[in-house]
Amino acid sequence: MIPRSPHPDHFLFPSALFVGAEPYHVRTILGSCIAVCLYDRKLAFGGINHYMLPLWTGSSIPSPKYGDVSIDLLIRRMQGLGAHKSNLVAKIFGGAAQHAPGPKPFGIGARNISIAVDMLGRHGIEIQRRSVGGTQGRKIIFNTGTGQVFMSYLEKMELKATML
Amino acid sequence: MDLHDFTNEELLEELRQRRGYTLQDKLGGFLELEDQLKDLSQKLREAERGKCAFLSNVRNELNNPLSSMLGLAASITHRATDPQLKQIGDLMLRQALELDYQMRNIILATEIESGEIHPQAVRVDVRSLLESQVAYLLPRIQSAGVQIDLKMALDPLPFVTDAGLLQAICLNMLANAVEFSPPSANVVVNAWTADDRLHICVQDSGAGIEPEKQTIIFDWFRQLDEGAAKAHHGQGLGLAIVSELTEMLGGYLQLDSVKDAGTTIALQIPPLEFDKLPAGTSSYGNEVLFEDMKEF
Repeated sequence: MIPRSPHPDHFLFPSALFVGAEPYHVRTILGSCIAVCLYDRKLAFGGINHYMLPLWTGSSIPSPKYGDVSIDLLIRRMQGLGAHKSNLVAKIFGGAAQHAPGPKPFGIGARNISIAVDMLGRHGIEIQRRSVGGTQGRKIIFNTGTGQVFMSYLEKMELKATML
Repeated sequence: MDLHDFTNEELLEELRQRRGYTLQDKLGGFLELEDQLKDLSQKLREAERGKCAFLSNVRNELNNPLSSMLGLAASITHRATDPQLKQIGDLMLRQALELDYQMRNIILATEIESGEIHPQAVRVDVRSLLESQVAYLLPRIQSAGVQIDLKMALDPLPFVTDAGLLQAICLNMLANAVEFSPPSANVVVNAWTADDRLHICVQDSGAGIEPEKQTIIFDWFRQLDEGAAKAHHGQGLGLAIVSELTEMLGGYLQLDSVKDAGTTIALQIPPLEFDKLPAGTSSYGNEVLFEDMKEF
């Protein structure tokens, strides 16, 4: 049953983070990017990121555009609002191979997925659900108050370069 | 006195007491440590909350006095009849504008770094936005002796994007072209829309950049000439900010530079869609959002 909800909406742009102390519906669109949705089961609040590349290489601003920066920052923001790693669960989405047909083990999508799995594992955060890889973009809505994520695949035309 | 002087019962009682004492002692120590940890954790959380508030506080704390200084310096420049006073006013205005420009970039870089850029779609007149940025940079433009040539029709050029971010992009593109132009050179600025996208092109006739150094200029804290003797001021943030913000708005930059023949930076961005407004209350209509969606 899909909840009818009075929560405010937030559209999450690439390279940004959102942590909702109050319940929000956070929407984002993913191609090869990844969104990590973290939820604190005890305090019942969540946060989400949207990163474009796996690792910060030192030349540009160390922003949440990069998976390693973004995941650490998201966890720190959640901790800032009282979350404990032991109460956090993760759901990860995105990481599609966008630009050519066929499997691309070293494409950006695949590398984005592997950095999420690796870092969450290192932080000891369980990945509860995931929908990653493939060749289609995804649209997700994360309810920061319940941890639920609703997802649909995008038609090819819907995914614009803006939301990779 | 040795152990034989005590009965077994007395020895057991003594052991019980000592064990009880040490346990209680240790337990007390643990409880105290736990309290200290709780205190520390509380302080850390407060510090984290403080850090979040820090950005907006810094922005206000720095912007308010700077705005006053800018206003006062402008007023001295306009009202002073004594030429020496007018000159002092001019100098103050230039320095305050310089400080304002650097602060804007430092604050933006911090916001990018903390993932706090949340673009908001509004209808912007790109022509007047560019003109206002040229006006803002006027003291710099005058002291560099450079001409800005806005090659655009006089009509407004409407485009839906985040006004603040586009302003920061244009300001830095312009400032960069002025900074690297020789005296009395022309900086040509052109803006138009085609296929729904906004194009802005800034062309200088400066020293140009060698092909192998062309990617460096978008790196943060990097300038082509570095070290104590560097000829240009700034922290090497301007073009890094342009590049990050352009990407956030879904666009891209193209650099065309020839050594000794100038540099052209061309930007293309798609419009921001109104339904991607970052925050708003959609109240009770949200179930529409979930049609055809699978729960995870």
